[in-house]
Amino acid sequence: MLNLIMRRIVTTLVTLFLISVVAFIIIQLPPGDYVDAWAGKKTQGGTIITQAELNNMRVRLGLDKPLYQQYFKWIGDLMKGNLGFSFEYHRPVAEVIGERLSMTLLIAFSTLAFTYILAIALGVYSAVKQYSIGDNIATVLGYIGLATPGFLFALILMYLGQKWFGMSVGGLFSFKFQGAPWSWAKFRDLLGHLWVPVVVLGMAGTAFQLRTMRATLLDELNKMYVTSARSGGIPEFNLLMRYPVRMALNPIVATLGWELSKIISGAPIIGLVLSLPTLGPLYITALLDQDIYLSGALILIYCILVIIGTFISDMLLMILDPRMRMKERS
Amino acid sequence: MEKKILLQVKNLQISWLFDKALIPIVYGVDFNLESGKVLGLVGESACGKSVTALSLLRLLAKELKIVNGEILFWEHNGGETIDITKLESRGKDIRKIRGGLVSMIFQEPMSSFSPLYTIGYQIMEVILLHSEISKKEAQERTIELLNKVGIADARNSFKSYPFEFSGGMRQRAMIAKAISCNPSLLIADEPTTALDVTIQAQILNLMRDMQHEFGTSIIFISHDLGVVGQMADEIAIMYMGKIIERGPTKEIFKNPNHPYTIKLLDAIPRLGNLEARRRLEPIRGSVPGLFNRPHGCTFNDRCDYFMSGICGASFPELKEISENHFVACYLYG
Amino acid sequence: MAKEGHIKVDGKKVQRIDIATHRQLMWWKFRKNYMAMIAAGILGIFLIISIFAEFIAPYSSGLRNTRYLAGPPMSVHLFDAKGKFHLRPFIYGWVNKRDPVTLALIPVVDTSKQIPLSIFHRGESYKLWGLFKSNLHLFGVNEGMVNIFGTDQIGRDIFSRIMYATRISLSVGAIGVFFVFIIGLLMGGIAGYFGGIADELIMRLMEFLRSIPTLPLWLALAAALPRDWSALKVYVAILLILSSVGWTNLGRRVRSKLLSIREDDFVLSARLAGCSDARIIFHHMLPSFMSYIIVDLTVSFPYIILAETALSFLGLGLREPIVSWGVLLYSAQNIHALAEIPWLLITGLFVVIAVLAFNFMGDGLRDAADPLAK
Repeated sequence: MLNLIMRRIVTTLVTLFLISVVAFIIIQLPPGDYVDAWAGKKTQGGTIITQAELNNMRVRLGLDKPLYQQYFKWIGDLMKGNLGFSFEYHRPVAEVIGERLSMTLLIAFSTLAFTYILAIALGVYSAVKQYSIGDNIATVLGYIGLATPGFLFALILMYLGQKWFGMSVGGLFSFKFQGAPWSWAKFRDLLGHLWVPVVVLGMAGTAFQLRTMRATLLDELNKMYVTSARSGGIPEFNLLMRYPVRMALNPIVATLGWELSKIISGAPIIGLVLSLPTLGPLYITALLDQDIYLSGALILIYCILVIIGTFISDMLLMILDPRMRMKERS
Repeated sequence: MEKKILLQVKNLQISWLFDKALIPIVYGVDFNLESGKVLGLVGESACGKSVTALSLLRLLAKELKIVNGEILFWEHNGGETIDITKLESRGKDIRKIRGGLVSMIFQEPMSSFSPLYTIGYQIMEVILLHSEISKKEAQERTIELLNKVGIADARNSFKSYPFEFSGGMRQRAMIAKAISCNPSLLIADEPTTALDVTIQAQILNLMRDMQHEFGTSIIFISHDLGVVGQMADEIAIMYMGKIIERGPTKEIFKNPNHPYTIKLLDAIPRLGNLEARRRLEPIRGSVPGLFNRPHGCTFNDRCDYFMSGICGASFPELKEISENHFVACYLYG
Repeated sequence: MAKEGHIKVDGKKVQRIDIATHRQLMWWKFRKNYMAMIAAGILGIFLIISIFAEFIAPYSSGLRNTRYLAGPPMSVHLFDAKGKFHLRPFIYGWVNKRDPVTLALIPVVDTSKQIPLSIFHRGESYKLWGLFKSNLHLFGVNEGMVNIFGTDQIGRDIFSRIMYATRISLSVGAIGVFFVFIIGLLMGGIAGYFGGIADELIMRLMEFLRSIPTLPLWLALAAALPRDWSALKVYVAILLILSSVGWTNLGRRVRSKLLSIREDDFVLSARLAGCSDARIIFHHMLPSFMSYIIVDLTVSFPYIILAETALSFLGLGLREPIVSWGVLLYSAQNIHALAEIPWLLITGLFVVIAVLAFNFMGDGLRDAADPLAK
């Protein structure tokens, strides 16, 4: 087990290195740099800027150096725990990301939990009561959940919230708690808002995993080992849970990392629509403003989250399935 | 020994629900099984023998329905007679029978254990369900059983997973699970088909030993008349969902009557045949599909003794031609 | 043997699955799946819309009804306010009135005025597929404009815009799927057929691509496109961006299928018969799992459509004058616009229906690809 973890850490580091290179290339791709983007905005606003000013700014921000030097400076700083400086916010990236990271993590992992609990429960029900009314409803909802883009669902929720209740469903806190210190009341307020992004983000994943669970379980229910166990006289519910259901968990646990990746993927756009204090909206504006250290750090954070998800899913799979443990041992 | 009937199957009919139509799979099967005896059920694949076996424990898939007939089971010690067809297939009564009074061994030792639990756990689970003993006692009993069926180092094997076992070992474990609660009937559905010939012989020996030791009745299902001949006291031969001949093993081998049985016996390689350089005689044609079952006797299109006007009219009744020897054919009677 | 595909059992017609050909079995299985059949029909309608968008839409995507800004959908009637039946469908006229509170001009329905719809209306002229000049439209009115899905903030006809957007969004899906197919087949084929180092490298690449969350990657790539590019250039670039990440699933499938059948007897016998590598791949191996590839492609269609919609919704994808579903939804981005003009969301309905239809059809095809499975 320890050996395995060590090996995983090494491959993860290699992947991270590659991702950092790719991230750096991507954020450098747009023609021009932050100074150009900034100058463009300023000139639109009517300010006149001289070439000398621009050059000064480049030197000050280190943008005049060759690309590989910029990369090594960036990656060297990253090693030291320094995520760089956000041009746009005039603050260190770590500070800008600050609390938004914890909110992002909170939403991502709540969504993951919501997705799996609902998908497993409904999937088992649907498979056992195949073609029942409940199964049909779950199937229809599943299809719609898969077909509705998250942002559209968010828009509809916002519209309905506005129209019927005259309230805004966006954000994570009510107005009076924004910036307030943490308290029990603020926490309750958070929970009252949290369900909207969780449901919106988790909808597609729940629908997908529900279908997987249902299909796999239907397959497993007809397997010989189930009949064999039934011939031993095991009560139906225990039989169901211990034999086919545990087996059917494998594929949905194996895709847990991937699911987290999809949740993280959907987060920026949902974050923007629902104006959440998460990393997503920050990421989009950073990309548009070419605030390279901020967007670079955010890409890295997204990738690390996915890697963590994959790692968790592999560990869970090893706990669930002895065959996986054997394979790793040999 | 006094004759004691353990199981009586009367006019059992099972159909397959396909496209909203009921397509008959088992057409009316009758047989009796005495306590302590071995009945061999023989037939080609898809003749309905496995379906019959599964129906005895109500383990049929959802699309398969018992449409008619009775399965009567006499409980050992002054218990009552149970009609298994009347029980709830997912209910409590049938669960008491499953694993406790009647247990089953399946064809594929590969897939009849869940790979997620140890062999020991899966055997112990059954013991704990049917007797009131502690976990520790159940574990000891399981190890004892594994020992008995010839698994080396039973104490460690208890903690092994099915995929760490060979096919033969798994089938031994399966037998251990099946006999764990001293059942009065053991249904073995092609228990040796998926095994190598040498392992096959070992498993057959093991089953015979267990049968002698515990006096368990066995229904032994196989497509291999040769294997069944070694095990069974009585043989029933099935063709397209019907029993067409039934009788004591010796009688069937010495004096087969139904043309199909005769052909089946001719298809077994024998030393004598080899010396005489005789070719094995195949049966003409192949089993008709479920959708074009012939009218009358289902064997009529492959039969050398086809009598027009008689064999195509209706299915012949099983008739007793000598003591305990029944044949369903118009040639006799 | 009986030729007909059915037999009577128990008084009911039952298909002779024992003598049917594989293609027959697949068709039977697909036909039995009502949802898949309906989905196929809906996609057929979408296809017709995309081909004849100019004809079906009464106006071009940029034409403004300046006297009907942010106007609600006009409903088409057969019965007038007095309950009298008119054979020709008509719409009511409207007048702009000032809201007493906000003082804004809002259109109000005027039931005293009926404007009949004309079918096969001669209206704005256009060039179908840039080739044939015509001014024939499916419907239109002689007086003012008809906006059955309403208009947006600057008075453009939403119905017409959706028709054009359907063409663009489906074409993004179709061309994207084509790219995915080519890249996936090539990469998977190289990995699976040749194995060795090529396989190792391609597998690593796939793993790497899958470890990056797709939307953030797409966003970053899309944000990198120069602002001064023409709409058409952006269109091609977006397609390339979407398919550059989307091929991994198909590549994986092709690779694993090739690996598993490489050792199969029918491939060995083809080799023994002296077939060339190319002939073995394209004549023997590919057809044996083509049905799975078709299913995979059908399923990846909606993913590409949704991805484009998301990018354009954020303003990072396609842009005017090219309109796609995402571009249309872009104007519904803020809650104020949405509260004022909720009919902007009609576009969303088209997205959902299209994706649903692709999913149902994909499922139907998947089941049909394995016709005997229960």
